[in-house]
Amino acid sequence: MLGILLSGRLSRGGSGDLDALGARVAATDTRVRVVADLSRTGEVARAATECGADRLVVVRAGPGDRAPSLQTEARSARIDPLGVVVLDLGDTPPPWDDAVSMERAALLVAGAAAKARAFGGSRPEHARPQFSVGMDRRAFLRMSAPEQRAVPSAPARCAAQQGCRRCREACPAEAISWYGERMHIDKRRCTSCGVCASACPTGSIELPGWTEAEMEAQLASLADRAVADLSPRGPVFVCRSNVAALRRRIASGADAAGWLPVEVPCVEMLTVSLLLRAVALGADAVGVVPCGTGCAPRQASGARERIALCRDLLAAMGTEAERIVVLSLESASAWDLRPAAAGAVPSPASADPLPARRAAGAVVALARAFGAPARLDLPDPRSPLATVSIDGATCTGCLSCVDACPTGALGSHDGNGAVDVSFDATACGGCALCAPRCPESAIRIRQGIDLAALTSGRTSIFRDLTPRCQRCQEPIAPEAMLRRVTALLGEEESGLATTLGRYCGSCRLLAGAPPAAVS
Amino acid sequence: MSDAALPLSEVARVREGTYRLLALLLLPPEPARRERVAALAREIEGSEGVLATLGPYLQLRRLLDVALDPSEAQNLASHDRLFGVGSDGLACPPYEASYIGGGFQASAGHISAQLEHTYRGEGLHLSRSLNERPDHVAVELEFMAFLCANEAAAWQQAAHDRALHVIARERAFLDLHLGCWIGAFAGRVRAVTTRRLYAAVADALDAAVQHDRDLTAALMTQIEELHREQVTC
Repeated sequence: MLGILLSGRLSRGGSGDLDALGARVAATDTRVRVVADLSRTGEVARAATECGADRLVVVRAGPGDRAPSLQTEARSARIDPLGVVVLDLGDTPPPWDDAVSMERAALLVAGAAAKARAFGGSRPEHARPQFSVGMDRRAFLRMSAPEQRAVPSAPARCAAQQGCRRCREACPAEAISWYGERMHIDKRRCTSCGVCASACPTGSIELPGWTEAEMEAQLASLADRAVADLSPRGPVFVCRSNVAALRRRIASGADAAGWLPVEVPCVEMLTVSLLLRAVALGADAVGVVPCGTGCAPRQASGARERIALCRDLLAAMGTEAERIVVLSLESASAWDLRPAAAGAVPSPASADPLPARRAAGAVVALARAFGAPARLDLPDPRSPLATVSIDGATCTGCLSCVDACPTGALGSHDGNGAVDVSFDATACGGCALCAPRCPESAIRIRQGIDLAALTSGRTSIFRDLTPRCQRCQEPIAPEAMLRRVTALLGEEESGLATTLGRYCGSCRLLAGAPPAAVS
Repeated sequence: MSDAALPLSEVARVREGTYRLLALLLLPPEPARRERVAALAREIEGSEGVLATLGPYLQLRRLLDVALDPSEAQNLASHDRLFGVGSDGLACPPYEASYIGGGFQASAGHISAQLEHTYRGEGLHLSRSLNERPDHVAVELEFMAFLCANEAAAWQQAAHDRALHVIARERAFLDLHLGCWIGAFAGRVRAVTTRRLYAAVADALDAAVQHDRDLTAALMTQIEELHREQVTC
């Protein structure tokens, strides 16, 4: 059950506004309560318990309208505090007596509710206690209640053993290291920016409260025309250090009413799939406010590069590149939101945990919506997708590349007298772990978006016959490998090469002996 | 529940009670122990306000609910199935040496010697009546309870430096011992047990140790900053 708690301070326009808002966002799995005074200790816990909630959205009237210790209140109601979504309607102050403000408020609450519903829970390793208030010398024997901050962890599917170090390379706080072959996140260094989670090719790093599934659910709800009639509209991604400034900017300008803030830990964590998905869901535009000076990873230019790639892709698809726009809080330009010329067909959110699949899903959905050419091909080193090819002249079919692939993009089938290496472009994020493992340097990786590859499914990229053992009929090795070994052995060892070509590893020692002798 | 600043002594007392409760639940459930479990669970429940401010509240709350549920009372058979020697060895060995150093028993002596040295440093020795190794989970948890009790006493006597030293020792013990293996141990218990009680014990144990590692680090940073400010003033 989801509980939505509306602050009583929002009823300045009369309680009718709050009742109307509650009715707009009510659902069978949702209970809405008005909390007269959020700042009164125990009120949030009481209301949440009354709702029987296991997920919670708290809608407040502004930054000053807050529960004293929301996490403690959530825990008292037996709700995971890392999944509580706090929505600030300070930029949409009541009275909601015009169509725009009520529609906007309903959309924002529905978006927060969708995000809270998609919360998948947290584990102890996801929390780091920190004191938001320093200790007071005069009250040395007391401490403020520590706030639990979400930190990422990688429980499964981590490709560290295959040699992947993407998260460590991406982490701006240098908080990631390895013990043996296991990833370790130093909670004290971690700034919870989420950049590691975006960089992970297998999608194994989770930052509760900011998973792509949660954000996609929020985006889908914000774009849903059935929820509210607000047009034009678009999500604007903003770093938590800038969210207050953005709300002030939206509240002060009539040009910004259609922009719907989506708070992220840091815009550097935004992925291509999330940006494209926002467009694919039907947003008229997608805004990104760059991080402020208080945000450590802002020096990196990854987000800007990803935005540029998305714009290039939209242009290649024949639609306006300006549907994804960088917004400056200091500048008045680009804030004017207009209905998009070509509307995207809203597509269901992708639940796949694999980042490449999510990116591929967003690209294909957009291509269909905009009628992009089937041969659309955009080679780009910034792409989250890639295609792998194998040089058939040098590959020996050893399948080392298949073993190295952490996402299953490369697969193999060994049977019917042949070995077959297949490739699924929708699963390849271009992590390049396969190339260094190839003993013959036969792998070619092309970073870019190839629509034909994305829509053609799994295709064979190498095939070779596998001779069978003359004794036991088991496959020996691909012919290419046997040819390579024969070449390495040379003329002097031609006898050995012949044996290798006739018998499998198990029967080789018995080569020459009649089958009856060993049966 | 209160948002006012929490007395550090009370926080340490709740942590002490938690460690002691977990230690008792991981020992064979003799009748006297079962009574102590119930009494201690009720005592911790009485500090609900402090408990709710701490990270592992949800796991501890579930543990208290189960521990106080008469239908979930411990029984020797289920304890032995998990932590006793079965036909195929120990299902969930409750010893640090089974998880550290690749589980080689050769390291057991080294770890035991290290732990005994640590315990002696605090003026403690292993009770013969317990008849357990120093790296048994209950012994290590009881030692953490002892350190938390010392911390609570230090805060109560306003002995700030002593409290800081105790927190540093807690942190070191968590980093060098409990924190290194309790996650693996808890994971194993979760995977093997069918009893609600031991599943709750595993969850609470994992959460409490992870949280305390982070909390003691954060507390030390806070207190050291305050000390630096005082020196500057």
